[in-house]
Amino acid sequence: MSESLTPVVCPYCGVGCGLFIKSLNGKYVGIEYNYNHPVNKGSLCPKPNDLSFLNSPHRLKKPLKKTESGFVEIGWREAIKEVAGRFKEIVNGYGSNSVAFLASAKCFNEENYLLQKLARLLGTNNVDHCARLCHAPTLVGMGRATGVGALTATFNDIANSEVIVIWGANPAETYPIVMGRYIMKAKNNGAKLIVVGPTKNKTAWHSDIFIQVRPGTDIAVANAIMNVIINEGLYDKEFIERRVDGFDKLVQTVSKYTPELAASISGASAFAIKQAAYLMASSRKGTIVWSMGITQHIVGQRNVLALATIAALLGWYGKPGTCVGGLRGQNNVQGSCDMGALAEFLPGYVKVVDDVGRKRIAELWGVTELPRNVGLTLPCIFREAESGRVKAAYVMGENPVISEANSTHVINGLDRMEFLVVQDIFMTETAEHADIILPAAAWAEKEGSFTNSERRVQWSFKAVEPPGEARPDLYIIIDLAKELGLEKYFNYSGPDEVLLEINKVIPAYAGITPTRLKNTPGGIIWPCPSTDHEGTRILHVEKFRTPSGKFNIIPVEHQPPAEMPDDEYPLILTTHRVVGVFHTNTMTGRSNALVKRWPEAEAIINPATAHTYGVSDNEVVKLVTRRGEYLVKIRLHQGIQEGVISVPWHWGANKLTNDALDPDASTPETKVCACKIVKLR
Amino acid sequence: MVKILYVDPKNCISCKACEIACEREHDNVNHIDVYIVEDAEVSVPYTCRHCENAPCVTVCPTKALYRTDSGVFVNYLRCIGCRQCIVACPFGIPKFLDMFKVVVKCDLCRHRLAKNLPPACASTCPSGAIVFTEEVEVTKAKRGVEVSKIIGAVKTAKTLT
Ligand code: SF4
Ligand code: SF4
Repeated sequence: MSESLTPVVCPYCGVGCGLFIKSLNGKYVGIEYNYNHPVNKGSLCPKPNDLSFLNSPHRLKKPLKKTESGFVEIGWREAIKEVAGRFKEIVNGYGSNSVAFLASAKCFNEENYLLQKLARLLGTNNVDHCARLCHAPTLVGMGRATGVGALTATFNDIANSEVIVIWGANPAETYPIVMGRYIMKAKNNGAKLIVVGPTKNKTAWHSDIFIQVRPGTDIAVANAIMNVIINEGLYDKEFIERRVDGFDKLVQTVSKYTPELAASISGASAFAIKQAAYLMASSRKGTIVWSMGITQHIVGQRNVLALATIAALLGWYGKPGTCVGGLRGQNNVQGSCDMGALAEFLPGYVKVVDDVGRKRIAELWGVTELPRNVGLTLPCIFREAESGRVKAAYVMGENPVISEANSTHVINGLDRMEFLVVQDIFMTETAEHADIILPAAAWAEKEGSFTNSERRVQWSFKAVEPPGEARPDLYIIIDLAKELGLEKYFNYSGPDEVLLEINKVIPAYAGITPTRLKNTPGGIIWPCPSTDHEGTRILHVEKFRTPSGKFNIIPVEHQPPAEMPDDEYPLILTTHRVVGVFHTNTMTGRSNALVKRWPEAEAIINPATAHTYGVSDNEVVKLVTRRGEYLVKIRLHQGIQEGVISVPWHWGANKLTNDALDPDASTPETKVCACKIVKLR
Repeated sequence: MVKILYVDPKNCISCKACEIACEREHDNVNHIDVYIVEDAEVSVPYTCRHCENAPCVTVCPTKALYRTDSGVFVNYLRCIGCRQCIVACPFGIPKFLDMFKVVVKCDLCRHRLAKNLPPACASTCPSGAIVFTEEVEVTKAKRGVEVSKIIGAVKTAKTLT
């Protein structure tokens, strides 16, 4: 057999770049650039340039069962029987809500759709995934303000913006193709770049204005920017008049947030705040995008409302060259949300408490009723497991031991459960706690659709064979459902049939059929209501999707983070990511070219802070918070504020972080807590 | 017209994709290095300039180093490992590969050019910091941006008079 090239979508972030996998006899041998792909025109960030994890000898190849003497290999038949048997037992003994399902932003739409369907047909809404830890506040906040949680336009619109605001995000490291191909392009065409955040990161290197804020003070700064825009009469009066509700309430709320007040709360310069306000208001074609620096706070949802409202003041909605929303972190986190892998939403964002919508889906699935109470969100699943109420969990391709805030409690929860199943491609930190481990095929070893941050749905084809007995998640779920006696509802021969069902269930996906998708390189952007519809790049063109059809201003007040520094823990701890490592490092940590360059965590602190605590560059120290300790190497960095320490979380630093939740979105405040440095010698 | 590897550090977002792409295409040795200088807030992708009048070619006693219309290349079979090129190169580019006792450097991904594919670093670079293009294209693009700025200024001036 000769070498072949298969088009796939990158398995990492939510940009959704296309590339070819080069294979020889069904095995991965390299990649080739897809120069015609509309998102990335060939270019790729470092991560997919080395996908050798696919061939790692450590891939899971057989189902494993935990015994007294460690994990032993078992057959698929036995594994599925055991999983179904135990789940039945537990559901019968303790009720449907004693089990929970973790879906995966790394799996295809079809797989997430099936997993949430399985949970719901077993009678529980306890199905959630890591979107809860990242953009749930965006989903809820943008949903309340505009009617849709997703990004309002496409990356091309970012490139055509005249002002770009990046808030609480570092796309140069976490979204390199959007930074390189779109933001830098806009900049080279004369656009101005404003970056807001605690660290002068590699994105901020390219900014025209950088506003440095203490973690957790974003609302004060956003309100001050609006204060200036309103007081100076710089807002888009026509847009406010015609398309926005609640302007007067806003005027009232932001009137006290002078730039000086915001400066005293945030540590930012009042002058920079004013300058930024003027610069933003200089154009009616602008972008505001954000990431975890906005969402991972107890006020995450309110942060989102504040930023969405700035854009409304300036009329940055519904036209080319404007774009507002969250930059989504995983290649299918948009899709897994769309599919209803969330505790409060059925597919297509139908609220589980919405009787009419729920009935409609129940009918399509051929059942009379579906569970009507909001399920447990991800952090709550582990809390309830720890207190003994959640007895069993099914984890598909997630690694909460590394990704969840205050991860010691996650481990306690996992260990307290009577039965834990983990389905993954490697023995992850989470899988180590499982009773049964099911070996899954990686994305390139199966086919299905992914939805990127732009709402672009793309088909990713099968390029290589899975190792050993590893199987695509889709077929594992189908087998399990059959064993659970639900075969009537899981009668699918493959992903195509599942997508055809999704076409019926989710109106925004109605026209995105498998045949069409496979023949449309670059995919189709939802909403796509029919097969002859070309997709929708820009949302809210005529009206917003709120009940009133108008943008709904909900003014918000500054509220300090749940945990602030004190005498015992004098520093603020925040977290960040690095370009060559992806999330919990399951895949990138097994690709040599990446490991070589990004081998370990480096916590960054200002040289002045280092001086105060007597630590030096490269020194290994112990970071301690009320929740745990973590050994890490220190790197001095002029660009971070004094009194703040930032640690990358890929290698396990979430032992330290705070799991206080945003009451509106249930997202933990991973981005700020109190911390101290303890020297080792 | 011949295409050149045009490197503009101003656009570089410090991602090192070019290093990894190069390494993949060249048996685990990368011929481009990205120097990330935190204090200066600049990153410099650094690779062979493919000089027209290349000092390395001039000093190479065996003609292992040679120049064609497209760039400067090494014929590994001729290289005697005398390292004269390392002495001569003003940019510190040629590397001595201990395993094979020869000198290696950027070869513009010759194997890719033969298939009509651009070099790996330019293909992967997200930011346009590395492009493989004709020199006139670069100057044309730069002029385009400046001309449109001037047009903007002239327009403004006209509205003022
Ligand atoms: S930017 Fe994101 S989607 Fe694109 S190559 Fe990098 S990780 Fe993959
Ligand atoms: S790939 Fe481009 S942006 Fe990334 S480090 Fe290399 S030159 Fe810079």
